[in-house]
Amino acid sequence: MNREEELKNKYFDGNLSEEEKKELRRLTLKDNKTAKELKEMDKLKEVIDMLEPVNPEKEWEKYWSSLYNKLERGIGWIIFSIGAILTITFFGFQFIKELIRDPQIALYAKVGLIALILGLAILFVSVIRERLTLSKTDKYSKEVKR
Amino acid sequence: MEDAILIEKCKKGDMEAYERLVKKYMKKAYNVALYYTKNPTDAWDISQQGFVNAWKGMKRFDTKSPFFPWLYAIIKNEALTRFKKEKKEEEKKESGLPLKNIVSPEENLERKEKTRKLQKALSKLDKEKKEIIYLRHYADMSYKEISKALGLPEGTIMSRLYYARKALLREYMKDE
Repeated sequence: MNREEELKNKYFDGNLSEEEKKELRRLTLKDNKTAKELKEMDKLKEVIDMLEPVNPEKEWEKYWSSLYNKLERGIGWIIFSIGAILTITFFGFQFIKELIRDPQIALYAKVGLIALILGLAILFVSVIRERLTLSKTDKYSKEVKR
Repeated sequence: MEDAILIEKCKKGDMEAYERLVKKYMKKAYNVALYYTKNPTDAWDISQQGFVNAWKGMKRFDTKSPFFPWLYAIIKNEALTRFKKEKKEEEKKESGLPLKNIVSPEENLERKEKTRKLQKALSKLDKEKKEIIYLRHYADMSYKEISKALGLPEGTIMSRLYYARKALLREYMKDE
């Protein structure tokens, strides 16, 4: 981008300094084409301002309150999950303890049930660990789909 | 209050600081989401989801960086991921820019005709040019924010914007 183009860009943005305004004026005096282009730019700028993004269907005042509800729900889910994990762990432990102590249940049934519970627990921990690893990698900081 | 101070507070879980940050950027976030969704309801939801994700990832955010380009990336990814699953919506995305005429019915036909011509000129631009024009003029993003958001140097953004405006002007003047 050459100097003239840079000045025209700043002109469009309305960011010209006094010195740059003089510089651009000198260019327009030298070349009619530049003067014509600036006039056309003025027309375009005026029309650009006659359009705006389509308005939201809801009121802006409701934006924060509905977002807050979503954030609160997220916190609620985290607390619920912690509670669920603690409860399941406690009762699971109690259940296994009782199962081992119970003389009426055959040994193979005890082994089978314990293996089932242990397998489920390992799968659960594995999924949680994977999720935690993924969440530690900020997918938005580097890679943006363009 | 500066963004960096608000973000530091957000990192400590200060919801009031986040409220101020959200209120500062909600319109810009909505406008960005609108560009990628072309639908006000989806834009509302996706921009909010962007803020939810930003809140969750706040601890990892580098306070020295500007906040909005990071939020822009989150919103853009959210919109693209959601609409990737819905091919019909993908087609809709390729249609015109989500802009409306703010010329009142009382105003003359000439002004209305001008905006119609601009819409037509915008529709003729390629995707890259449309995007940069929209981000600068309608999402009200600064050069620095666009540069960070698109991962390009500010000089390149200036140059791209210059050629996008030139192309728009050419298309617009065709009808004059």
